[in-house]
Amino acid sequence: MMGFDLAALLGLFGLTSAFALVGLVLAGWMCWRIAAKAGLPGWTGAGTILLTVTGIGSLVSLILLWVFAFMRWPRDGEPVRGAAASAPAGTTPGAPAALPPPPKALADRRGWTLVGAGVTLAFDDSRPFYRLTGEATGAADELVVADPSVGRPHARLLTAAGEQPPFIVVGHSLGGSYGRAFAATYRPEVAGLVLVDAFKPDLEETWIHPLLGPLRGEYEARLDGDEAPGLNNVGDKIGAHFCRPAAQIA
Amino acid sequence: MITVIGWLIGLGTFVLLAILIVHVLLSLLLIVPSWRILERAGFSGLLSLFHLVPVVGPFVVMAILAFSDWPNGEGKRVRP
Repeated sequence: MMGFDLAALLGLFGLTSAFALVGLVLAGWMCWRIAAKAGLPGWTGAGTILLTVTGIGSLVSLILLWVFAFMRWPRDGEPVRGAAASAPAGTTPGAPAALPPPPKALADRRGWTLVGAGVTLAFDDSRPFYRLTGEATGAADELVVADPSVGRPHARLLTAAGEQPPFIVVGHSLGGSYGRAFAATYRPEVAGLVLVDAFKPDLEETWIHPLLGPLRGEYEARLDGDEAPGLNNVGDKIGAHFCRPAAQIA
Repeated sequence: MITVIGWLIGLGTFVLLAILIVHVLLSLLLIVPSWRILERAGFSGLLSLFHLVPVVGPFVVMAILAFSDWPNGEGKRVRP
């Protein structure tokens, strides 16, 4: 009977140890991947878990977890080029130069990288062109940017590409509406606005606002009282409205 | 006899309550940083509440972060 109890005890001990070992290896593996996803060497994550094997290690691991949560990750990249400190004189706070870059992944989880001096995106395994849109579309060449502020996705892309104001905004069709919002939001940075076959405000009520969804309120606020000539072109014409004298644009 | 049983039930309730409070407090030490990590990765911070599940909770949170694509992008070290 005594031998049976001892065997059962040893078996329980062995089973518990086996579970602990499996849990330790699993946790180490997962922390390796988590650290790597944040841009850190994978061994830093696995090493943190191995520390728990030691007596005081659990406390160290807990501290390292807090450090990891609030530290700057290498994944977050370098500071945005042309940040506020180097912005041209006369730019307003909150201008494009001070905005962070957009998330480095698309809605379908694919990553992207900016290439060249212009605003051109290169996707993995897809065509090297994109179309910026606020619509819920799934086409491979469309970049859906969910942003609480109309115009800011465009501004962030310009900033990430290293472009500096003044900007001449050209908007076609629905892009004209985005262009108007961008120009109204970043008026000091926009030298000119060119609308190509864009929507008239009364047509926006019918066609644009449903597309804007939750952005509608801010969109309307940005354009409130903006009735300048040239902003309301519609049809096959090309309209232009310059916020600054032409001499300053060059 | 009834008095003893009453005392035992009261004591047991107190011990269970104490264990629950300690468990929640210790879980909070994991929930707060996990909440921030999950949000930075692009997930909902509410997923960190899995830490409240004893034993397997932290593994669930780690598995979400380790084996899911991060909506906000990942470092290049995990790319092939």
